[in-house]
Formats: sequence, structure tokens, C-alpha cells
Amino acid sequence: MYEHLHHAPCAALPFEGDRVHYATIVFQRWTDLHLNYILGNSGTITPPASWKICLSTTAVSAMARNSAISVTVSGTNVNELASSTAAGYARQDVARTIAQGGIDWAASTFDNTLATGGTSQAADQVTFSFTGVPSPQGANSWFMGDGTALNAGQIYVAADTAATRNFANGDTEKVTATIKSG
Amino acid sequence: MSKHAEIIFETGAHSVVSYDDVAELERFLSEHHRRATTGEYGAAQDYVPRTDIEPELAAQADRNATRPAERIHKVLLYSDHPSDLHSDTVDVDTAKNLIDGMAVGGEFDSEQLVQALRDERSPTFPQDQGRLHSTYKAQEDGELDLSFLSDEGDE
Repeated sequence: MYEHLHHAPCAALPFEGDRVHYATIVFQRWTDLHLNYILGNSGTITPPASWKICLSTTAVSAMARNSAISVTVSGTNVNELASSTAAGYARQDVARTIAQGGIDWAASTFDNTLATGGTSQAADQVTFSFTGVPSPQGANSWFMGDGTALNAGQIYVAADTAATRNFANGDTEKVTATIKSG
Repeated sequence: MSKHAEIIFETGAHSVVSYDDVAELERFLSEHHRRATTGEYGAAQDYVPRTDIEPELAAQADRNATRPAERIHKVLLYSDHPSDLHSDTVDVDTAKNLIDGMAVGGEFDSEQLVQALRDERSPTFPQDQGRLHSTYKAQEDGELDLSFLSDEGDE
């Protein structure tokens, strides 16, 4: 039997049950950069010399648009993996070029599908290497930031990893960042 | 301040790794290279599938864990993260040379100059150097001797 959802009481709506969280988030700094730098030619909010791909123990569901990278884990702060014991972890660069450098961005692709379409741009894959067990441990997301100091700098976008991954000596982790706009 | 190394895998993948002493670095290289030459996985095998994300994404967890290890081709050593060893500023002579090089009839394309300055500021090369060469402009302190790597798994 076909049921018009707008006639049903809220409690009966199917999406009130096992709701899953969105797996990506765009932070305030990313939108500030687009608006201030692109529209207004800002000299204070500017892109970094290169993008840094980083890992975090924080799941996207615990992040907010104004989340900050912080060693003090409280509220919606984002905690970087391995910030106490690196065990080999270091941030990985993605150059600000298109299909030029060793690890940079591919040409953007456009999808004109109604509602779900937009323009996407994928970065080359980056690789993290681990010489032991990092602390904190357990990657739940990756994020794009700037600078090389751990648990510091700006945070632009983040996305969940498919699993909570715990690393040990000899492990590598791969991230292929794709940014979609629109 | 931790020292850093740029690991260049035979696949052309690059990874910056931090380390306190060479023994720590060699521990990773030995283990990962061993896995590569014996056909083992490179990804972490200790993982917990997520239940709080879209099922389509969570379904990738097992497949991601089967990614193979890669042989080590070259390891370049740096005193710091190679991204930090390149200055964020551009010296005046370089800027003047850029303008001179693109000037036509006493004028130059301002967008071309902005792009060239961004390329100068970048810690990585704006042109492809080849998949088995460093992606960083910073000069390495040296290259690690990889003779300790065992190729017993080779056929």
C-alpha cells in the first residue's frame, strides 16, 4: 500500500530509525578561503604553499564546521593521529598544480546530474608509513590541512575512513582525496 | 625535532616518514619490503569496521586491508620535513627574472606572474620529475644505503 509521507505522523517516518551520519564535512576555513580569497582577493586568508593530507582519530560525526585541530580534545576539536608518538607518521603533501607535479590534482570533472551533480577534483594518492604504534591510535578520518606541525594549523575538509585502523610497524595507509563542489 | 625521510617505492608512490634514529627507519623499511617480497599486505590488518557511516563506505574496509606492500626503491634523508626546508618567500632577483622572462613590449601577464610565484613558493616541484625521483625541491642530506634489505622472497 502506498503511503503519502506527508500524511504520516513523524514517528512513522522511516528515516527516524537507523540513521547514518554523513561521511564528509567542509570546515569554516574552506568556505572562508573561497569567499574571502576568490571573491574578495583577501591577503590574509590565503591558500597554503601546498596542501597537507593528515589522519585523525576523530570521526566526522563528532566534528563541526568550526572544529579546530587541537591537542586538547574537547567539544568538537579534531585530534590528529600520532600527535603524541609519531611512530613514523608525518603529513603528506599535495602540490597546488593540476596534472603536473609528482603528487598533485587531476583535472576536474563535471557531472550535470540534477541534485547530485557537481564538479569533482581528485588528488593523487598519498602514502603514510608507520615505524611502530602511534599515539593516539585508531584512524577514523583523514583531513586536509596546512603546515607540518602535528595537531596544529588550519583544517579545510575531512572525510571518514571505511574502518577504524590501528597501525603497527611496517604498515602503510593510503588516502586519495577527492573534493566535490556544488 | 624529528628527522624525516622521503621513501620512494618501486610503484612510484612517495611517503614522508618521521624518525628519531636510523634504526627506527630501517625497522619499517625491512618489514614493509619483506612483506612486498613475500606477497603480504601493506595495509594495517588491525581494524574495526565502522557502523556509524554509510554502508557503501563501510563495505570498503575489507578490500582496503588487502592492498599489497610495495618494494622500496630509494630513501632520501632530510633534517626536517622536506616541506619545511623550502622557504615560503621568493627572493627579489627570482621575481625580477620571472617578470623579465615573461615581459613582452614592456608588459607582462599578471595571472602568469601570480602562477609563477605560486610555483616558486611551492615546496614541491611544479613539473613532474619522474616517478622515482624526489617530489621535493629541498636538497636531501643524503641517501640511505638499502643494502640491508633482504630480497630472499625474490624469485
